[in-house]
Amino acid sequence: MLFFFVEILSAGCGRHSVISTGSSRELPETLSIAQAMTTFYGNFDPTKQTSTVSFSKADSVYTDGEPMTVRPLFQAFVNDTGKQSFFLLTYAVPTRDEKYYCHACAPTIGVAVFTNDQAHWVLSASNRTVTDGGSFGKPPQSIKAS
Amino acid sequence: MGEGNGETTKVLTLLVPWKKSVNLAVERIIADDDDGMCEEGDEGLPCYSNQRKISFLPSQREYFDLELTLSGTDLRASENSRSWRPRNVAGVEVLVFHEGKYLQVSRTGELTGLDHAVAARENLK
Repeated sequence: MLFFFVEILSAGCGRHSVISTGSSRELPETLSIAQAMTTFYGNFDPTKQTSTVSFSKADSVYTDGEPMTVRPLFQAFVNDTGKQSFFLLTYAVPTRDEKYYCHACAPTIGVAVFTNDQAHWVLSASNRTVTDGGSFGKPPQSIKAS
Repeated sequence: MGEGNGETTKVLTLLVPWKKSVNLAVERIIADDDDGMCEEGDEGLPCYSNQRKISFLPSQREYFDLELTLSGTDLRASENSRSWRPRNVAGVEVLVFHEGKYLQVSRTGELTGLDHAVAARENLK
């Protein structure tokens, strides 16, 4: 069994506080998962709670060139010396086979970082294909922001 | 590494926002054991378990330095599985953040057998 322990660092790690984590769909300061996913992927199905995307061959991922279903995996609201940030982690599996059950079938991990700029949330850093993580179609199990 | 073969491996993956993107800054094996398939005694595969303690060290760089301290036991594989014996392993690796990635600046002590496979692939020292 392979476990991934994923840690997302914000700048100046150790000098801030993580004030909200978990699976809540509604986030502080009016940013919702739906808004974040829509900004990150350009679409979001509120019924299925998923986005869709296709990765290119230029992306260094296990599966490219076909529709992928993307789900929120983890979120954290971080207060770094008065500046608020929101971290969203996602995982993507092939839409044609969402069970994606094989040992090497690691979902593709995406990360978006939003910062609160004068009451507006701005996508300040993102990468839809940071890495592949997990196995048997399941994403990493232990994740934290620090 | 595989489900059902009794070996459990934990991997540390650090993701870092950097210049409007998010990087995979470092990836390291932080624990490995064969608890699911070993047996104490002469008949079965010997048990081993190793882990790395993760420490963030304050620095003036954009992100803190990273120290990984290895301890525990490892199984050195050889052609004759009856001669396999667990051995103690210990070591310290220090990495610093530079241009979006963590780079190794020092390492003392040993690598585990699993580390060697990764080291060969990633050109680690």
